[in-house]
This record gives sequence, structure tokens and C-alpha cells, in this order.
Amino acid sequence: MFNIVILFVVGFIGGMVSGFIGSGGAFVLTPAMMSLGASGIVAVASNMAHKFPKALVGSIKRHKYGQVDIKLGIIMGVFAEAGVFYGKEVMTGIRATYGNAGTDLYVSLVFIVVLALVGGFVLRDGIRLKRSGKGDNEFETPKFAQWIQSIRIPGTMVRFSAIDNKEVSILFIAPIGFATGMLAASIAVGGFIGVPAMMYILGVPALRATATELVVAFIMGMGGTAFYAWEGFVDIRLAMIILAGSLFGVQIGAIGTTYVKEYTVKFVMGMIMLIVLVSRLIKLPVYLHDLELISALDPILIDILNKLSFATLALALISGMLVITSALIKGMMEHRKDTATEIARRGYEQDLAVTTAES
Amino acid sequence: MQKTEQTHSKEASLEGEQLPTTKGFTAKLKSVNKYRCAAGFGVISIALYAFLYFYNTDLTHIAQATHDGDKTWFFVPIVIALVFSLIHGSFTSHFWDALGVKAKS
Repeated sequence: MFNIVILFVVGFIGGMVSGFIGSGGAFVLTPAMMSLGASGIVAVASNMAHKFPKALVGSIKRHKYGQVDIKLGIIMGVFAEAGVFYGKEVMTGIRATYGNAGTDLYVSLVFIVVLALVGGFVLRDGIRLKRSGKGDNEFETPKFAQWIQSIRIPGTMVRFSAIDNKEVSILFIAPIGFATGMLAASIAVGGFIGVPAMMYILGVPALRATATELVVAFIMGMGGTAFYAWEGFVDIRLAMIILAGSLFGVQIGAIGTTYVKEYTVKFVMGMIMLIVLVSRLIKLPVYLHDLELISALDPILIDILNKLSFATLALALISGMLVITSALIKGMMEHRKDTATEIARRGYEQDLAVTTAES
Repeated sequence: MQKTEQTHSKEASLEGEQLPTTKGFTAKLKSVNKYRCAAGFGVISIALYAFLYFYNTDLTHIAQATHDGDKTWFFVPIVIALVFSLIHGSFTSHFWDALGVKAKS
């Protein structure tokens, strides 16, 4: 029973983060399932089986708010699916050559490079945007994205609503989708590449990029689930317990996006990425030890590093949840106050009109 | 006569919105429906989880059989995930709505 509660709570927090930034949660859920006794492959497969229904619900919800570009999501999703299968091949090859420690080290290095570069950039941009005091109506397409949008390659141009009905060549979307899928196959969170790439390469606003990422996650998750279900690795009971919590969370995350500005989304995403980076850095000596690239570590130290790393991962999710919750509460209170003032103003105007007519 | 005209003009000004009494009734009806929807989907959602609990051995057997090479029922987890997402997703949406946690309009 305690395990069910743990999975429900982790699912809820992961769902909230996913609903808000389009991805996330998987990096804690998989190790959490494994620590509760599931084997590695069953944990990955079950995580995948809860991910695609969650992404489906999240994308439907955010589509209602007009944030999803379905066409962009489907095109990226198709290329991402190809990236997932290629990424799996890469992982299998590394495992065959260097064993499990080799894949762990590869995953950690990918994590560190991607999170440090992309996470740092996104967080810096979020802080810069907040300081500049610009609202959502003053969205500026990044210079690189402007250049990408200006390149015309006949026969490959597609129009997207997310970038004000401008056209972008599908040849630029293909590698972004592919990289998203490869990252998803390696570290289970493709959105850490997909969302920033949509923002800074294609010029999609943060709120729309995170919403569109949910469509990509749905397609990737559906394909991945079919793959693992064919092999009989999906523990649907485990997946549905996590889904029970994560669907409560994904609704809150999606609702939260209607109250925040662009920079909040960037800030949350950058912050989570950098905390996850710290977690990977903590665990790096353990992988180097397993591969015998450094001198032997004390088993107690290894245990401490493992626990510390997992605790830092949990911290990443909890921090995200706290920022989203506080932004939601603050946004709702301000909105209610504005609505009450507007109603009072209208009532006063109506009363004034009636009084004038009577006199 | 003048008073009747004034009443008419007051009603006409509110025509676009609805009369206060009708407005209150509609709001009340919507509020009741909101709770009913949440409760209805909640009950179906609980029923689905009960199904999962009572048939958990069969589901394990299906997964094991698929793993051993019999692919007849490999799609069962995908169908279950989709059904749960639709029902439980609707429940969670109505649940937060009933609690007043709504998107900015």
C-alpha cells in the first residue's frame, strides 16, 4: 500500500511538471519503480505505458487553450520515433561492448552535456526575459530562428500556426525530431532537447513549444509502448497506478500555463534541467568506478552517492512543483481580483445608467 | 405607464445577458452538473481500477504469454492505457473544475 501511495505521489508531481513544461518526470519515475522492486526493462516499459496516455490528456487540455500546434507535433513526433529506435540501437551497441556501466556512463555524459548547455541557456534566457519586463505580447523571434525561417528550400516548406503561420523547411524539423527521440531513448526525457530546439531554432513561443512537445511525447510514447508490449514487458498495473496520480497533476500543470508568462516556463525548465545535472554529476564517480577508470571507491561512499543522486532528482521535481503551484495560486488570486473589480465596475455603470434613466 | 416603459427598457438592456433570476438558475444548474460530472466519471474511474485489481492475475498471465511468444493479446496494455486516459482524464478534469481550479478565461 505504501508503494502505491509513493507511485501515486511521484506520478502526480511528474504529471504536473509534464503538463507545464511538456516533459519531465520520467527521470525520477523509472528509478523510483526500480527501487520498489521492478526490473530495469519493466520500469522503462511501464513508464512508457503511463507516459503516452498522460501526454494525450495533457495535449487535449492544452489544445483547448489554443497552445498546441498539432501539425508541428505530428511531424516532429514521426522523426522522433525514428530517433527513438536509432537511440535504442546505440544503447544496445554500447551495452554489448562495455556492459551496463558503459551505458550508464554514456547516459550520464549525454545528460551532463545537454543539461549544462541547454539548461543553462534556457534558465539564463528566462531570467533575462523577466528582468526585461516584456510581456507575452512582445514576443521576439530569436535571431537564429529568424534566419531559419528565411531559408526557402522548394518542396520542403511547411506552414505552422505556432510561428504565426510562417513557413519552415521540414529539413530543419527532421533533425530536431530525431535528436528529441534519441535523447528520449537515452535519458527518457526528449523534451529537454525538443522544447528548447522549437523555441530557439524554429522560433516557437515557450508556451506553445511545451504544449506541442506533449504531442511529440504522445507519439513517441505510443510507439515505445507498442514496442515493449510486443515483447511483453509492460506491467500495466504499475503504469496505471502512476497514471492515476499523473493525470491529476497534468491537469494542474496545463491549467498553470494559462496564468504564467513565457519566462516562468523557461525558468522552471532551466531550473529542473540544472538540478538534474547536479544529480548526474554526483553519480559520475560511481560509473567511473564501475568501469575501473578510477581507483576503487568505498562501498559506503557509493551508497551515499547513489542516495544523494536520487534525492537530488526528487528535488528537481519538487522544486518544479513548488514553482508551478505558487505561480498558479498567485495567478488565480490576481485573476479573481481583476474579475471582481470588472464585475463591480460593470454593476456600477449599469446602476448609473438606470439611475440616469429614472431621473 | 412611464414606470412600465422603464421596466421594459431595463429588461431590454439585460436581454443580451439574461434576466438575473434566469442567470442565477443557469449558474446553479451548471454548478450541479459540474459536481455530477465529476462524481459520475469518478465512479467509472474507480470501477476501472477495481477491474484492474480483480483481473490483475490475468493481466500478468497475458504479459507473460506475450513475452513467451504468444502475441495474440499484446495490444491489451495499450487499449487499457487509452481507456484509462479517457475516463480518468475526464474525471481529473472535472474534479479540479468542481474544486474551482480553472484555467484563466
